[in-house]
Amino acid sequence: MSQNLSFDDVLDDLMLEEETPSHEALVRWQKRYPQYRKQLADYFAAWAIQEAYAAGQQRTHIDEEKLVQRGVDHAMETLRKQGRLLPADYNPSVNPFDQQVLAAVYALHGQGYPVNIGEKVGEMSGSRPMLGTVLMSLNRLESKYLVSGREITADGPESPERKTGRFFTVTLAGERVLEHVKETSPAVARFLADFA
Amino acid sequence: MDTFSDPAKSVSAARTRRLASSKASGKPLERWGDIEAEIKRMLGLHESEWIAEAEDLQSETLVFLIRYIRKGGQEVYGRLVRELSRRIAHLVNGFTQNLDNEAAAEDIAMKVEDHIMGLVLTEEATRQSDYLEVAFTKAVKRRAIDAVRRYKTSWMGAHRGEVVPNGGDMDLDEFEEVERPIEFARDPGVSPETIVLRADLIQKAYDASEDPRYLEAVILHLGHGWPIESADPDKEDLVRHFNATARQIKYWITKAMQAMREAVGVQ
Repeated sequence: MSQNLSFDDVLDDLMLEEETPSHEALVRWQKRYPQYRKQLADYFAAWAIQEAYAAGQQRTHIDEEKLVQRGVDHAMETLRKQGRLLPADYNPSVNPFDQQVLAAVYALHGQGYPVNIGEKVGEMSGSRPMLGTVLMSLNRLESKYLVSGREITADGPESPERKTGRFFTVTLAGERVLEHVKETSPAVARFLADFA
Repeated sequence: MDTFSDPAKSVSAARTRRLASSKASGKPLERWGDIEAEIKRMLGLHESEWIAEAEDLQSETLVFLIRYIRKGGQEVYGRLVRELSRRIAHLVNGFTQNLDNEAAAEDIAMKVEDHIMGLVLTEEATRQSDYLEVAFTKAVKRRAIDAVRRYKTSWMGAHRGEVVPNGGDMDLDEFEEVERPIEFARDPGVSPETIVLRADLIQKAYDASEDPRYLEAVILHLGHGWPIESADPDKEDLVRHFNATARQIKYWITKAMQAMREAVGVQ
């Protein structure tokens, strides 16, 4: 496999293994990848020299803030093209039951799984829903990017009473929707006030 | 436009925490334990808390979270991407200090930033994108170093054959013996003061040197053990690296060391 690696891949491995650009390390890597002998020598030299200069007084000034803004703009454009960016005015319609499930997920603060989410909804509405109904609601909310589910596969402090399962948190879009819901649903507003 | 009409598809979209790639040795790539613990903690928090904590998170965790969000708003992506971008810019800035050319430094910084962000936002994980979740700083550093290497290689290629200032008509015999100054002795117990002195020496020597290669030869030879000339063809040496004679290189090293001695007031 090592013979088929690109120079970029070799450099990734090299940087994980080596802490300093010593000549001894260079010779070792040149033996391992003779096809990149010249590039490795240039790379080790550049590494040694740049580390020495990096420790000294700053001589070249680049506008980091300008660079950051450009990077953020570029990244946002990429995300938009990939269809991963939600519209700024994103506010999907959510039925009253799903609103209560969303509020329950928020209140459980990352510790919510279908059973205890159903219990919280029961506290809110006065009647505990069927587990399947909660699951379908979570499915709808997740498909609208309002909650995010994650699998817990090992025990730990996250869930003392359950070792595995699907746990939910609220996304930023979900919190925005919840703000609107609080204005229109007294039950949700009362429930969340207790968790404020 | 996504109509959000296929919940089964979106919910089942697995966002695994396992890295798929392995090293050349075949050993799987794995995140460090503290990164794993931080990721686990963050996944139990709402996204608004990711935003609040972004500045304090490890870079590998930021990379993970950006990749983890399947679809999100500008606010959450923007905050995480900005923090990561700020770190990239700062790291690259530190590694372009020997260019003496702000336009080139900025160009390199932009290229490295674009490359890293491209890997972070890639939709299909690759070996290189997985590395960002294992050793982010090293991944940025190695790209900055490599970009500078490429820049300097092209610059040196364009200037190869130029006459080295004073390199040909000096009395080179007086430069045959190259001493190892105490400041460059590789002492594992080196004090912070010595490090400052080294950095200061490098700056002074750079300012005083007629050619940046003088100082580079010193750094490689005395700082990292490169031989001036090796009888072993498998051992990289300065003669081959700089495409110069051993005498020229000894002259460069002596001149750079003279500058350093003068900088600290030693004759």
